[in-house]
Amino acid sequence: MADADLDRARACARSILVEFGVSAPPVPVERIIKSRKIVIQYAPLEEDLSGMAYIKDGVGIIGVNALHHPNRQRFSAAHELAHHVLHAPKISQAVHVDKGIRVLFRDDVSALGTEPMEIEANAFASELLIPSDLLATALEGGGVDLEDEAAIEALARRFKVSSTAMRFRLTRW
Amino acid sequence: MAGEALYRAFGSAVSTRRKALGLTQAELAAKVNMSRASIANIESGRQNVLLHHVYALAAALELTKVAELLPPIPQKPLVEELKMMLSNQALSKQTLSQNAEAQVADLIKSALQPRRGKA
Repeated sequence: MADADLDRARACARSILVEFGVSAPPVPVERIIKSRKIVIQYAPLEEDLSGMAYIKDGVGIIGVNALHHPNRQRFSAAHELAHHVLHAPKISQAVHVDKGIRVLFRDDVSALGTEPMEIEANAFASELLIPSDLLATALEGGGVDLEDEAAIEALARRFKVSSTAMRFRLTRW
Repeated sequence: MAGEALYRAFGSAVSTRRKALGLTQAELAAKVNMSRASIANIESGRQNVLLHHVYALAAALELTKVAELLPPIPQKPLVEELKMMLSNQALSKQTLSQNAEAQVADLIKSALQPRRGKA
C-alpha cells in the first residue's frame, strides 16, 4: 500500500471546516457528519474498540463507542469521518472497525506496519478538531509549555478533545 | 449468548463506564448499596446479577437505558453477511470477539433502521 498522504488528509479536513464556516472551537463534528448525510450511531462497544465506518448500499454509517469519554468519542467520530472522506471505496467493501487510540504514537505504530489509512485518518481528525488557525488564535501567537498540565488541559477543554490529543497536536505544531 | 460470556460482557461494560466516569469500585458500590467485592465480581463476570441490580447500576452509571450495559442478542446471519475488516492498529488480536462482532452488527442494524419521529 502507498505511503500515507498526510497533506491531503489535512487539506480535506481544512476544506470541510471552510465549507462549514467553523470560526471558533469546539468544532461541531457531529453536525458536520450529519450534514454529509452520514448516520452517526453511538453504542456500547468492547473497551478496546473506538469506532467503525461502513457504507452499505450507499448509506454511510459511523459508529462510536458510547462508553468512552465524550472527548474521546469526538476524536473517534472525526477519525471515522476521515475514512468516509478519504477511503470510501475501502469501507464500502467491508465493515471497518477501529481499535484503540494507538494514534498517538505514530512512529511506533507505523513501524509496526499500521495501515497508511489509519495514519491519514488520525491526521485528518487531529486537524479537524484542532484546526491550525483556531489553535494559533487560542495560543495568541505564543506557545505553550508541554509540561504545563493545567495549560494543556485548559486548551483541550476549549477544543473538547482529550489532553493527550491536544499534546499530540501541539508536538507537530 | 452463553451465560458466562453474557456476564463477562455485562461486567466489562460496567467497568468501562465506571472508569469513564472516574469512579472507583468502592464509590460505585456505595451508590448502589452493594459491597465493593460484589462490584469487583460483577465486573469480572464472576457474579450473576439480579435485574434490580442491573437497573441500579445503570442509574448509578448515569445511563438512560439499561440496554447500554447489555450485550446485544446475537444476530448470526447479519454478522456473517458483514465481513469485518479490522484496522491493524492493535498489536495483538486481529480478530473481533463474537461479542464485539455482535455489537458492531447491532450498531449497523440500528443505524440502517428508518428514522422514526419527525416526518
